[in-house]
Formats: sequence, C-alpha cells, structure tokens
Amino acid sequence: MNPALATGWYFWRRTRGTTYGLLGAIALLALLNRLPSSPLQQNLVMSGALLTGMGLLSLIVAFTYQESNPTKADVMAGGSAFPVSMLVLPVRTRDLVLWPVGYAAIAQLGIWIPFAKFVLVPQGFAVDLVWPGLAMVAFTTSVQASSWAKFPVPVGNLIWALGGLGVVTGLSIVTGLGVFSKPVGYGAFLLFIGVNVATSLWGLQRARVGVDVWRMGGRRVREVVEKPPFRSGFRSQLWLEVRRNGSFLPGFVVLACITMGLITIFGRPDLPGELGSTGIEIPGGRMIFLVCVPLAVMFSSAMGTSPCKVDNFTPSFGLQPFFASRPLSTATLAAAKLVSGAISSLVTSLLLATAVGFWSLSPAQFGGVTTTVAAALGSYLGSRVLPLSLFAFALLFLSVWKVAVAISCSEITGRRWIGGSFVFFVGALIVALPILWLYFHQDPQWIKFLLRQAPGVFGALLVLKLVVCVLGLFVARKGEAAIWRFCIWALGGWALGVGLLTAVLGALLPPGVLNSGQLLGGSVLFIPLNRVLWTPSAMAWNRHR
Amino acid sequence: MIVEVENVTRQFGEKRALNRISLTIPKGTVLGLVGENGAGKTTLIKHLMGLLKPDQGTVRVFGKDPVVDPVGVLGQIGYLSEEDILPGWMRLHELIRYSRGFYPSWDADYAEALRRDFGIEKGARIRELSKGQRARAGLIVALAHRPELLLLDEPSSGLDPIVRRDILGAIIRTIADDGRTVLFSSHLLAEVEQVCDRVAMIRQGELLFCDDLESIQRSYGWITVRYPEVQPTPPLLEGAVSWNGDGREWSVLVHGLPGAVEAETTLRGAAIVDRRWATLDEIFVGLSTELVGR
Repeated sequence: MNPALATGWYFWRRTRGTTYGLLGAIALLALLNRLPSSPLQQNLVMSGALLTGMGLLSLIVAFTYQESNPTKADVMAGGSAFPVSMLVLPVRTRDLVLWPVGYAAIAQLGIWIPFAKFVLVPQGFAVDLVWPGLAMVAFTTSVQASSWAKFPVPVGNLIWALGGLGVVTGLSIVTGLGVFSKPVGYGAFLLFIGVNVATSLWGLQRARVGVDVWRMGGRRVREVVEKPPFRSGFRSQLWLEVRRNGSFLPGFVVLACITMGLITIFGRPDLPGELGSTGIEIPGGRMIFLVCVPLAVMFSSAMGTSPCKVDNFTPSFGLQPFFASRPLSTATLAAAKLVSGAISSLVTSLLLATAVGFWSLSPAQFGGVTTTVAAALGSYLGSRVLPLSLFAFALLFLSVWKVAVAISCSEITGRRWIGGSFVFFVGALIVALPILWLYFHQDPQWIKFLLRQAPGVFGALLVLKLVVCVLGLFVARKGEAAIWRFCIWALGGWALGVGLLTAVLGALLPPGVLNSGQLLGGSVLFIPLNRVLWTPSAMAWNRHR
Repeated sequence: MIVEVENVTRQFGEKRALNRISLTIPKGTVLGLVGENGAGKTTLIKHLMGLLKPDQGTVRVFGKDPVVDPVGVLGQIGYLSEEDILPGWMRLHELIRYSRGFYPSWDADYAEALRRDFGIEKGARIRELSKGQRARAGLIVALAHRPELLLLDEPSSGLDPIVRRDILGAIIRTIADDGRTVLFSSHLLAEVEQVCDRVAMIRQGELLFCDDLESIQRSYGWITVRYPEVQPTPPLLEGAVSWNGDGREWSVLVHGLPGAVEAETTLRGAAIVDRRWATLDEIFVGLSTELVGR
C-alpha cells in the first residue's frame, strides 16, 4: 500500500463510524420526509435533523485528529496536537496534511449536501446546498491549522482559531445576507480554506523539525506572587474545583449569549437573503441557538483551551489518583464540587439575567417581550418588583445549579456506561419532548386528561423522590462516617429550603392561587435533595473501586 | 505494624490481580516490592491507599481501613507514582499551596529546601517541566508533610540517574526521620538492594516471598555447570528454580541447599564451574521465568 494512502486510511478509520452513522440518519430522515406530511412526521424529522446537525458539527472536532490526550499536545504553549506517531512516518508533510484535509472536506460536504437537499429543503428551509458546507470545511481547516501547526508565538494557535471563527462567521453572514453573489461567496470560502491548508503545511513542518516557539528574551517564568496558604483541605479542593471547572459554564453562557445576539441582529425576518428567510422558516428564529451551543463547547474542547483544564483528561472516567489520594473525606471532596458548582451557577445566573434583560429590551424584540410580561403581571407587580425579581433570580440560580449538578453526577460516578446512558437519555428527551408538546398543545382532550392526572403524577413524583432519598440514606449509612454526617446536614438544609420556599411563595403569590398543601408539595419537589444526597456516595463508588 | 494486608484478593473481570495476598510492614521498615509488569504491585499499593477495595480480605494501614477512613490514612501517607498524575495546568507554587492545605504537618521550610535542591522555579508550569523535574515536583509534595508512610510506585521508571539519586536520597531522608516507613516498588533491583531492608516479590498476583533482604539472598544459590557433551535441555532437578544457558554450559538458580543439585549434576558428569549466592536480580529473573524454565 502507498504510505500516503495508508496515512489517509488511518484518519478515515478514526471517523468512519460517525460518518456512516450520519449518512444512515440522513437516509432515514429523507425516507421520513417522503411519508405523507403530518405534525408527527414533521416533528420527527425536525428532532432528527437537530441531532444530525449536532453530529455534523461534532465532526469538526473529529476531523482535527488530535492526540487522544491533549496534555501531550500543549496547544496553548504553542505545541502541535498532531498525532506524534504520524510525524515519524516516512511520508512527506504534504501527505500528512492534504490527506486528512481532503478526506474531512469530502466527508463534510458529502454529508451536508444530502442533509440539506433531502432533509432541510423539503421541510421548507431555504438553505443553499454549497456555502454552509464550505463554511463548515473552512472552519474545520481553521481548527486543523490552529491545532496542528506549531506557531512562532505561544498563543498563536488560539489567535488563529479565534480569527478563523471570526472570518467564517463574517463570511457566513455576508453570504447569507446576499451582500455579494454566491460564486464570490464560494470563492471567499475556498480562499480561506487554501490559507488554512497552507498554514497547516507550514506549521506542521515546523512541528516536525522541532522549531521552538519564539519568546522575547527566551523562556521566561512568570513572577510568583506568594499567597497565604489555604486554611483547610476543603478550601484547597474548592480552589482547585473553581480553577478547573468554574469558568466553564459562565464561558459557555457568554458564547451562547453572543450567538443569541448575532441571531437577534442577523436572523430577523426583515433582513434580505437566506438569513432573513431563515428567520421566517425556523420557528421563533431561535432554533439555531440549540445548534450553536454545542458548537461553542466543541470548539473550546477541540482547541484544548477549555476552561475546565482538559489536561486531566484520560480515557478513563475514574477519579485521578492525585485527587483521589488527597487526605479528604469523600463527603468533603463532593462538597467542594457542589460548592464550586454553586459559585459557577451564581455567576452564570448573573450573566443570564443581564443578557435576558438586554435582549428583552432590545429593539429587535420590538418591545414585545417586555410589554407581554408587563401586561401579564399587570397591577400585581406594584411594590413587589424587587422581592419578586430577587425571588425569580434565586429560582434561576437554583435551576442552573440543579442542571449543573445533574450533569456532573454522571461524571462523578466515574462509569462510562452511566455517562453514555445520560447522553442517551438527554438525546431521547430532545426527540420526545417536541412530539409530546405537539400532542398536548393541539388536542384539548389531552390537556384535560393531563390536568385530571396532575395530582396523581404529582403524588407519584413526591413518593418517588422520598423513596430515592431513603435509599440514598441507606447507601450513605454503609459508607464513610463523613458521608452519613454530610447527608444529615443536607437533609436539614433541604428541609430549611423547603420551608423557606413555601413561606416565600405563600407571601408572594396572590391568595387562592395554590393551597398550602400544593405549595409545600411543589417546594418539596423543586428543592434538590437526591442529587445532593447521592453525590458523595457516587463519588465514593468512583474513589474506592 | 504500619501495614497489615490479610488474605486480599482482587479480580478485574477474568484476571485475578491479587490472589490471597498477606503482608505486614513493621514500623521503620523500608520494603522493596518487586515483580514483573502487571504482577500486581500497583494494585496492591492502590489498595493501601483505599483507591481499590478488596473483593476478599482486609487492609489496615495505621490500624485503619483506608476505604472507611481516608483522612486518617492518607493524611499520613506520601505518594509518588511513575504515572504522570500531577495536574499539568498548575504552576509549582500553586501545587505546593494546594497540597499544603491538606496537611497540618506541612513543613514549608522543608518544601522550600527541597525545591531549591531540585532547582525548580516556583512559577514553572508542571506540564512544561521535564519528566525528571515533574518527578521531583511530585517528591516535594509527597515529602513536605513528613509522612509516616512513603509509598513509591516505580518512581524511577524512565528517569535519568541524577533524578533516581534524588529519589533514593528522599528515601534515605525519610528513614532518617525516626520510625518512618517506606514501601518502594521498583524494577531497578540494584536500587532496591541499596535502600531496602526487606523485599517482597509478587508474581501473577501472588506473593512469592516477603523477607529480609539478606535472608532472601542466602536462600538462593547460583551454580554454573559444564557438561562434557552438548545438552539440548537442562535436566529436571529437585531444588532448581530455573535454568539458563545453551549447549554444554548451564547456570541454575537453586532454592535451598545447593548440595543436592551439585551432587546430581556431578553424577551426570558435569563440572561445577561457579558457585555463589544469587543476586536479587538473578532471583527476580529466575523466579519470573520459573514457569518458562520448567
């Protein structure tokens, strides 16, 4: 076999599963599109299209073909993330670059074009068959260049990647708005792809021969500012958790808000070109948001610059021996994680509240949201604006924290099958919820039926929550003594939270809306208990294997 | 006793990583743990830290179960592994500050002295350090709280002689503090011989021996014999653990008294060319290839 072809085969083998899976999904959706149109058919296709779109975007990461362990790559320090084992093969650098670039481009266009033609267009999306695919390829080559090339300056990779993201976004907007003709748009994308490929060739050659990063005055070590020592192991661990994971969620929200802002500005129906039509065709014009969010995460992960310090990444989900061997009780390790999650959620909630405030007041909303909310609350608001706002913020914070803890729970167990099941469950929800919503909101009988069943469902959920809690306490009793103490404290805190929420709701809600039993039941369900109770036991399961 | 391991068995799927291991480490001992790759050394050390739970048997460190009381056990342990387990994104001063919070007994002056000795900049990022420097950074964190028990899991693997000397120096410093105990797992048997006063050998999850170094070395003999004719295979003899050689000259590792083997070989017309106590290296290789040799 030709060595260059073997190189291409190596890269193809790493992504063939995803590629075939996506092609299979597109074939299935295309078949569904040929069925007689019905709300169920439309929802199935749309949900499937959303998941396929996410998969298509995930290929951007797959096609960077990085080292499986980003620690080795050290991209931020100017290193190359190209698989080191490939660099020593007896092939020319251009083969190392052009084969994977070519395969990635063919695969992405080969998936995008049938996806657009057989799935999106029949659903009424006025999408172009070429330039979005070229945009994806351009973005992929830009990420490839930034992670493969050894740039002369330490943060050259990051600068290139961010610049690439800006160029691709800008070109997509002007092409989508129809600022210039499509052939010119195609040419611009192709030119940018060429620049990226040239950069990859140049940068990988540098990596291959070990050209060092240029530093002013040589390799300098940063001045150290001595800080006082931590007063306890818990504070040490909390510092680590915040440093390692704390900025991930807020950073993610900032990116999502920027995306929302761009869509608000450029996705309006009154704008010309495809973007304007997208604003009409996509319900609410905001569905793209759901696609852009995972894009932001994947982008940061691909670059190895994720704020969650991915250099602790290993194929194993197990707790790293360094952290597992800290002399802390498992309950304290879990508590540090939960408190760090709370700090992160608080910052995220502040950012969200600010962004939603700006968004609801922006001219793009035509004052619609603000007016609707004001009309709905009407005279009830009065002097209660401040306590209501604070209460709403507290609920927002608690909700963000609940979601954050639920996500981290699958990681804490250290079991890959649990993580996989969680992803599957979330995916199933994404598919199922729109379908359920369709039936429930269109059929009054269903709504009446659901309303009749609500007390029973409510009661069943309460019983389920309490049963899981008792089970959690039973498991905790058998573990470390500290876990049991933690659970007792958590139970006390939860009871306090339930009492507080019931009292606040009772004071804020107009009389007669909910009776005291409903208020108490709602609070019992809303205030998180089991995810807190189970966290230390889940971590102990991971730590003491 | 600092460590008491009793009848510990641990299975990973089909593989039995530890099979009814029983071992004790008295206070003040430097125990060398030797064995082939995959023999179960790291698994045993992880059991001592509570990172693994035995399927059967009990583990007690400082009289406590490390799974039930991780604070009580890990607070008195210093651990250094061959694996790159330090968080690479931290700078050295951050690693020291982070680690210090866990140990009330942290000796900041000692940590600083070690850092200076090892010549690592405070502001250096861990992942930018060389492998040897990372091992030294790990040593600072493992030693600065002056642990009662130092667990070294093949710390010298792949390191240059200067770093290995630093690691041995760390063991010697630890021993110098009265009553401290060290468990040192290594493939470098010369180092084990240099610093350990007891040696335990594991093969395929089973403990072959755990005894004083001198007693072990006096239990095995190394005899080289020469036959008048070419011998395609060595003869099966009582007490011979493994044979090594080809043609006329063969060397045999003998357990117990070498007299029987000598008599037997002489009877077959062979001449004894060399006779001495076996080195730890020869015992290790001989016992590791025992099954193959037979």
